[in-house]
Amino acid sequence: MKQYYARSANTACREVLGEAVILRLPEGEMFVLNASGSVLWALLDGTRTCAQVLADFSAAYGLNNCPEAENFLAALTEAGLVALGEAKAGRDVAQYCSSAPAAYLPPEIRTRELVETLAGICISGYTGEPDQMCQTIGVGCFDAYD
Amino acid sequence: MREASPEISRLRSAAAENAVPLHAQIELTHRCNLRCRHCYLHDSHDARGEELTLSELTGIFAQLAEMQTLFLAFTGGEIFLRPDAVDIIRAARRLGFACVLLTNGTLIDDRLAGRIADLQPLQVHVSLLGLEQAHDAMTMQPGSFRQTLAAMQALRSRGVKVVAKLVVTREAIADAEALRRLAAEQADETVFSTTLIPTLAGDNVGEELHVRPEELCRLSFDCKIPEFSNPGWPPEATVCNAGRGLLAVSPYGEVFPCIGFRMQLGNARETALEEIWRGEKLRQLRLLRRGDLPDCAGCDRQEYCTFCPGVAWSVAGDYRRAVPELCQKAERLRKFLDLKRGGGR
Repeated sequence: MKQYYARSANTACREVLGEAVILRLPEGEMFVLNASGSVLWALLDGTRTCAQVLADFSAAYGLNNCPEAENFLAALTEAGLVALGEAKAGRDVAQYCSSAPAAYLPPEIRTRELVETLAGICISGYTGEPDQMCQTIGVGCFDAYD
Repeated sequence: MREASPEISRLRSAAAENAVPLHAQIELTHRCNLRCRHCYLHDSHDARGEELTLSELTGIFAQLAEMQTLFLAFTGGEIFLRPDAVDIIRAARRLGFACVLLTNGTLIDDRLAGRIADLQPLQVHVSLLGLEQAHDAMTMQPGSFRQTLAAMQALRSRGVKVVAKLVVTREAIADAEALRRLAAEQADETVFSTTLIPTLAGDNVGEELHVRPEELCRLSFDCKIPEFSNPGWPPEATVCNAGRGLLAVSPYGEVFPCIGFRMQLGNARETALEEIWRGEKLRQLRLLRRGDLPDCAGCDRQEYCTFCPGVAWSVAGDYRRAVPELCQKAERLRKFLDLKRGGGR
């Protein structure tokens, strides 16, 4: 039986300013992919086999083949961000990847870090950070030095 | 001292600079089963109209996904008073959002805890308002403290990250240290909150509940809450994230810069969120810098200032104006902290 690649159910993800930002839940580990990695991530909607993912990715950049992409896919799988399963109906690339492919660079996980505190995400209160002086009960509020 | 991770700091700054609403706050309902005396909704728990339906909310989520929102915070009222709360959160998860749930926990039994765990929220924030006696007095519901603790345990036993939000009022300040120790055992993370925002009617929540600045500082020292470290505001600094990297939607579709900043920008039932987000009111707000605050030029208390445009909007009707209570607080903080730093403890 053919196996199809899909983003794991235990992820939250969005393309933000051209980069795929992925949170692995419930740990809250955050991964940010580079532009090429974000394009590949967008292809992982559960409708493509591994060969199709690699073929579509290579085609997006006009490459004959792309061994780095295979390694990258393995890294995503290793990180628990991608799972193999049965085919899903309907492709959703547009939802996750609105930008045209940028110039090709080997796809990679640009940063990976555990979001230990959500001080920067969704709380207020005394965190001691200069940009956290906002004292309303807002979720997502913060003061910023720009 | 805890610090936000570098990547999330970079991400939120980039979002704010580019007017991307990375965060959104969704008030699912103003109804609540408790009557917490400090709550900004304490005079507004009755439904004012038809709450957004699951279908309407799903449409809002789809718009937010297009606008690059990643983090959704669901708040109330008590979100689990809505029988479709789990369905709503599931709809958001399907669209790839990282969901944070704010709840008083009292409605979360083992079954609901299991359903919440299945949703894989990023975090569940649960408010503790004191130890048992003080907490139940604040919520005006005997037994609520134990219900909340039970919910925290039920969630954590299923792998859900629980954040204890310790809302410290003057009445519960004696509990602060014990509460901090309790939260350290019962939650994955602890946050102190000491500022109470005005009610929707613009009234200050019971003045007797506000922690005095001196008490706040003592709390900071005695409970190891990081003390103030704000070096002051450069004139070019922005004021806050509201309307820059954050927007809020009320149960009735009203759109605000933040749930604590209720300048109505439009209604999601009538206007596309993107259009509201790109509107003139927010364009003006995004231009605001510390140096533009007319009452604050030359102020020597900025190191201690907790100015909030939302509070200014509620109290003064203008988000640029100083709030006398916050100015007084800054002055008292300065005196107290200067004394402390000078060894006068």
